[in-house]
Amino acid sequence: MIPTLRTGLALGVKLALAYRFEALVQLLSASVVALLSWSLWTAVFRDRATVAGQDGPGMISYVLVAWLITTFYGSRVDQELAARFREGLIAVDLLRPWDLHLHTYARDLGRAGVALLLSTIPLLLLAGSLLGLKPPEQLWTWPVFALSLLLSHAIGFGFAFLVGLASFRLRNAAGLTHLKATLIGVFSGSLIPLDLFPEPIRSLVLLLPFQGMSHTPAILFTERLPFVQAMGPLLVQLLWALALMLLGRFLLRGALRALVVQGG
Amino acid sequence: MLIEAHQLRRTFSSFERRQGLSGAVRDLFRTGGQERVAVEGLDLRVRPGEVVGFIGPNGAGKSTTIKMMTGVLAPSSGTLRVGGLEPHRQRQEHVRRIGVVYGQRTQLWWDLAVIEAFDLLAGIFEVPAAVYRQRLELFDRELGIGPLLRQPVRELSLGQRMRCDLAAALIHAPPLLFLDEPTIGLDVEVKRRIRELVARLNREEGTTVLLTTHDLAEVEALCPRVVLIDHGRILLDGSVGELRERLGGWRRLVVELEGEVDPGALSAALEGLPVTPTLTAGQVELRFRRSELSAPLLIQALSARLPVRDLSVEEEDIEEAVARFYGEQRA
Repeated sequence: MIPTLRTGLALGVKLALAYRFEALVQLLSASVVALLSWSLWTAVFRDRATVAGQDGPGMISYVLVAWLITTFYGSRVDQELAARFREGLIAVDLLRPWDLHLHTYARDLGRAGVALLLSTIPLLLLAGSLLGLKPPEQLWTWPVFALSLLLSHAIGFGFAFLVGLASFRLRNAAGLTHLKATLIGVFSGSLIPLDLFPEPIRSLVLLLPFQGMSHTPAILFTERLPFVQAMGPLLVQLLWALALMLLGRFLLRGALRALVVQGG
Repeated sequence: MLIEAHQLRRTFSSFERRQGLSGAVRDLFRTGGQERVAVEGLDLRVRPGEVVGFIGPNGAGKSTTIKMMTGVLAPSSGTLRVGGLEPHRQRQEHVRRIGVVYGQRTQLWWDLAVIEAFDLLAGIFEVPAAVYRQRLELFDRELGIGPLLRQPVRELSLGQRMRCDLAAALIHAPPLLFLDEPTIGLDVEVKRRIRELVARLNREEGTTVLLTTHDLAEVEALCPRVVLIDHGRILLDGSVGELRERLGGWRRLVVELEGEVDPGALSAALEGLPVTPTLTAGQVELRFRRSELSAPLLIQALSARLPVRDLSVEEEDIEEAVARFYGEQRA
């Protein structure tokens, strides 16, 4: 298990560094959307003090964090996995003495680590100095936020892995990838604060795993909850992460049993 | 026995798409498909230290067999044990003891330097640092890959990439090596280096090798044992000599004569002999089976009646013979 995690992380880091240019592009496009979102919310708060119970600085901080951490958890494991099945390279992945699911997780975590250093943190710092993103006041917020980020990545990975397996089974990657992006965009809180949904949609949306990706880290970062109550959403994240991971492992086993290595 | 396959069978369900819009719509609701047999009742036993050549036309079931033996594909039925393990069920344990080269697809990472890929593989296979260094030296000496190590894989030529791929498959010194068309599309020099390394590993480290190829010269150079397979069945299992024998053991005697060939004298000389002559300018080509006629007898009969200037005896090209054999089997 340790060699699997170690080589997975190393591979993820190396591949991410091999595509440094992509990190730059990601940085640019993420900052454009952040600017757009900041402009919109600044305009909204010009005429009023609160929206959905949030004041201007609180809402803007939520929106910026929720959006900027997508550069960290945004997994493309679904496309990678679908491509490896389609091109028959899965046959090569299976020649390694690793647990394919755990390896893929470690690799995506390595990728996310590089993104954190090259995109997410620089963007958060920029937003802090230029766009009024408020840093947390309590010290405990930092480790809790870090843990929440790790779990938001695990949820994103777990979901992307399932989408990848489904693409393989349905032999259609493009459509499902699009669906995945839409679901995450709408239900994670990364584009629209989840508190804006009217009831009962809001309550339903909070039952989905996607809220653990942006909404939870964002409310923790903006310190809406005291320490003890903050453990609740963290626990929900953990349970979703575990559930998606276990489902992924289970379905992978089925997929491998049914495997037809394509292309000779 | 290192490899034991008994009544090994693998089928695929193939899915022929229907034509037109209505066909596409109906395809949406179809489950399952037509069953196609890739490997049918294969029995094979391989001892440690053997080098076995798997030959057969495209679609014969060679690659499917290798994929089952490497643990990538599950057999549909029958039993398969490699080194006492069931490859598909005990995949992680199994792949530690095997090395695999698929000639058609690389196992290196396209955007990483060769050495980065090797480092990762040495890590996942837990190769001790000292052993890893020795292996790299060996590969540099035998395959000349030292200068390639810093290059990204995508910039390598096919020959360079294949040499690196072979090295990657051997980093953890596996006692069993599967080579699925390892020299496809390579030039003579790269082929020679790859063959020499494989032969050397077999000789010095006792590595067992299973090789699929269309290159019969490669089989002759490397494999004391040949398995001819078609339609997922073994048609022949023996030495290259036995293969020749079974394929007919045809030989060719080419005779050069003084002056024009006299057809009358020729047919008189060959009277009663099981041989087919072909006449070309100043030359006679005679095909015969080794089991039916001895070359000295034939030469004697010819020299008695015809002014022979020069002659040569050739074994039939094994490639032609196999092609003919496939044709006969399919007919």
